[in-house]
Amino acid sequence: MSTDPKSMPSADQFIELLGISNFDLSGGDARGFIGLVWSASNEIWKIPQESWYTNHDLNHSFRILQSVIDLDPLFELSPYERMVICAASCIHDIGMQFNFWAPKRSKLFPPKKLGSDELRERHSELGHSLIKAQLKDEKTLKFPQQFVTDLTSYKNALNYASYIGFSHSGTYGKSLLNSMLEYEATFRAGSHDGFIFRPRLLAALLRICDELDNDSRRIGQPDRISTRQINNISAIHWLSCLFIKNVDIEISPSADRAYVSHTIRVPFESDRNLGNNIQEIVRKIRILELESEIETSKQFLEACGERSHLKEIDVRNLNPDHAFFIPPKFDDLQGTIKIALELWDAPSKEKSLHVDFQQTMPHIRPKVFPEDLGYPLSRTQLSSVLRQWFTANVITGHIELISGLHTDTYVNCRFLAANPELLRAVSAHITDNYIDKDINCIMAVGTSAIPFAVNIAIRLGCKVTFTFSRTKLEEGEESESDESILDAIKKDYSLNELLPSFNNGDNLLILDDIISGGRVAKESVNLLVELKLRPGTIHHFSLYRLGSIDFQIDKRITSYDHFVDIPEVLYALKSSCPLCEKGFPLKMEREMF
Amino acid sequence: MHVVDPLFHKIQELLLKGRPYPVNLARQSFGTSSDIDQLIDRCLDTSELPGPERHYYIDLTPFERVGGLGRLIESIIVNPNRCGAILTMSRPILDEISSEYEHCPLPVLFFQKDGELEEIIGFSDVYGACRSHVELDFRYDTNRLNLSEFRRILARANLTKLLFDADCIDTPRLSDELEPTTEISGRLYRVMPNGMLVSCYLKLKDLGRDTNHLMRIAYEIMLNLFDYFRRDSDPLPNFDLIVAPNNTSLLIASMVRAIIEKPVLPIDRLGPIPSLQLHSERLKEFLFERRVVVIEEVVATGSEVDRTIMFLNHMGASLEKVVAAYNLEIGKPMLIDSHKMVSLCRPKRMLDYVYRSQIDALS
Repeated sequence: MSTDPKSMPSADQFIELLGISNFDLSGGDARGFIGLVWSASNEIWKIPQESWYTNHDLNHSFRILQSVIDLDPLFELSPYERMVICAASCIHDIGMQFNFWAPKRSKLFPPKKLGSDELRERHSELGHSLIKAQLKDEKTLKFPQQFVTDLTSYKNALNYASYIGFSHSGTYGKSLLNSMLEYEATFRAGSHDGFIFRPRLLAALLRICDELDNDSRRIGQPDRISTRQINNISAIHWLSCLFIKNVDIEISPSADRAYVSHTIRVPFESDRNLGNNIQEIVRKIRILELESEIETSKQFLEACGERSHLKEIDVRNLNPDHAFFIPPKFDDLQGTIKIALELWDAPSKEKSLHVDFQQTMPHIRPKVFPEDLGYPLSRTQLSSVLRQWFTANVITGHIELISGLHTDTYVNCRFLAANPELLRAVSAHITDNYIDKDINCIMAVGTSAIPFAVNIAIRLGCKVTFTFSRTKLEEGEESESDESILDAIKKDYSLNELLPSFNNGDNLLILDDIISGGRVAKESVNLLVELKLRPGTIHHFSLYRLGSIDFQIDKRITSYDHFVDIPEVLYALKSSCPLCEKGFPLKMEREMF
Repeated sequence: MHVVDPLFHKIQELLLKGRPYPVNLARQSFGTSSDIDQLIDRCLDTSELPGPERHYYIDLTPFERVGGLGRLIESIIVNPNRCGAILTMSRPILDEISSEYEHCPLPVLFFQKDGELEEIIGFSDVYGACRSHVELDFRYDTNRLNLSEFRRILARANLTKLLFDADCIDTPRLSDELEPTTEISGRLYRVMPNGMLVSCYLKLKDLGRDTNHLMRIAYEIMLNLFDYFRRDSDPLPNFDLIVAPNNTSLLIASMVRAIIEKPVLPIDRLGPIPSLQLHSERLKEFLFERRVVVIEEVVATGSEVDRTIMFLNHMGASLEKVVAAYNLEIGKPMLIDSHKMVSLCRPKRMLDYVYRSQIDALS
């Protein structure tokens, strides 16, 4: 786990989340108790050991409690119950850190460090043993920090928390549930210190909320998923969590039922098969697990005669979200998922032996995505993302553009404009760039710029319009043609498409996807002159500046700006094209799109 | 009929702040004190309401819960000259009103999950006439309008009004220097690039002069795509992306995209059918097996829709729906099932729109 201990939620945050800051126990207070539990747990998680599992640290505990709070309208937990489940959540996975806190000589614990599979299987038992030892005041037990130094007032609460917490998983967990079923006097629903207390319900709730924390936040370093350090089972778990963007809980108006819905991240440019496979892996591994936990909890409470305490929790359909998201270092994501699904269904003994699984995940050039970097993106980060997008989407060859120029590099920014995440990020930056420039109208030049222009115009509260540039150059393009720009363009566009809608005097932002020599920008302004339109100040912004041909600055344009500079792109006139000289076959731009 | 759309204004507010998924967020988050204050202001702003009508509608159907209903109702009933009627599809909203008022002082129209009008509650001496107008609007005793039909009537009215508010109707003038114009039998016509004559032209590009206008048209399209928020189905997942076959459509589709955050792909300049073969593998990869909604700003002869359908078919995409903001009813697309195409406004008669050849002019 790449969890940074410095980023763990604090004790105060736990207390505030649960609303128990002013709750007093007889002989103590909730703040004191949670403070001690948190402190010890935080120490345990200081250096996460088992990095090939999904995240199990206090961030995970915190998220579990967030789900508890989201479900609280169904259960209306008392302050005492909240305090106990908080402690349970903090400690429930401390067994995963056994190799960190394992005492060197103790009859209570295995003498040596454990392998990952055994650790996973026994972590509940190990964690419970640690807490039991503390409750028995085994001061000889060397532990990173003496756990709960002044335990007296809280032993009862901690004992309950340990049963509730460690019953969440595995065979040992089920044995604790049986104990809670059997010891009726201790665990039946009742009251404590005047507050309602339903320990069995809390155990059920913790199981369910543990399973609810199954989204991409469980994966600290997704780019490690393809490394050999991550075993197959873990990789499958990682994959299934990776695609879950968020889990939402909604309570019915009558507060008798909860609805859980998962939003899954489907890579934007994936086809239907991949989208289906992603849904399948999420459904098989996460959704079915969640439904199984809910069912187990129901059966447990039914057996206890407390079934009515658990309200219905319905798991709804998956909601796909086509975000700009590609899991790092996957070359054949579809193949990987298919094998993961086969492995999941395979008999257990085969799960660890399927060596091909790792081989479906070779390393490819690393990609950096907005979600991995965190919103909002800085300008540098966005430029980096746009450069990566360009590299990933460029088509190289020998191409004649609609303008007549020849190039070795072609990219169609319509596909960039069709990406909602990038569209939003780019538009936000351009908006910030011009927010104080008193822009009255955004004029998109070309089709690809229109979606960006609309987004920016919404934010700036200004007009939006579009026009086009001259589509065909004559030979010897440096000299001005006798034909007016308007007449040239009207061969390909109707006047209504050409005529931009703004008022004379409006400050204009011209938006284009690509600028190379600045000629299109210049001609856009010339077109306005021919149309007898007189804007105020004119700014020009393009997403990319391509090529290294001499830039024609038009003094009528107050400022030029762009995100990414890619000078190595070749542009040449047909008459002097080096690719023509070498005889490379030519493709037309219309065909490229 | 006039409607106050709190969802529209909430979406506007969220778009201005750059919040993602504004329609979802607006539906979930509407109901703050500030929201109710603004809604009350809009309801009481009689300048917005048409002259002789005494009643208007407050469309709360997109919302499942709205706080402050009591305050809303108490505030708007102070104006006895204007009666607001609430539209809702939410049982919790209905229950909340019923729990606050034994006899609700204004009409509340409750729709079932499929949009069928179940009942109208609420009656008062002050609004007795209002109730009867509402019943008349919805043909309550005969062939009741459902929510979808009601909103479609409103869409027609709103989009017609928009043409005038946004000054989008371009009528030819002999003094036009840039556009060719001809006169036949005392009537002026614009000569289109294909040589045909039109009596006027819808310059929907001018909607961009005010993003509120653009939003208005996008909102009506969005309502249709969401099937007016009927609760028995969830239409949004039923398509993957929006396609715009020309640049003015793209202007509108981009605003729809901003509201619902579905990707939009322009596929303009399709040209004659044979040129479809030239379109690239890249686009085919992008569209293959995708479920697509096409947004058209104006349908006239329907040929652009047909070319778009052929193109999508060639690309292996699946067409779910075509939504045309305006339909001038000159012809109709031949390649689409009628149930898959929706035209929100048909202004041909209102505009006295004529589309004809130049033959008479030449002779």
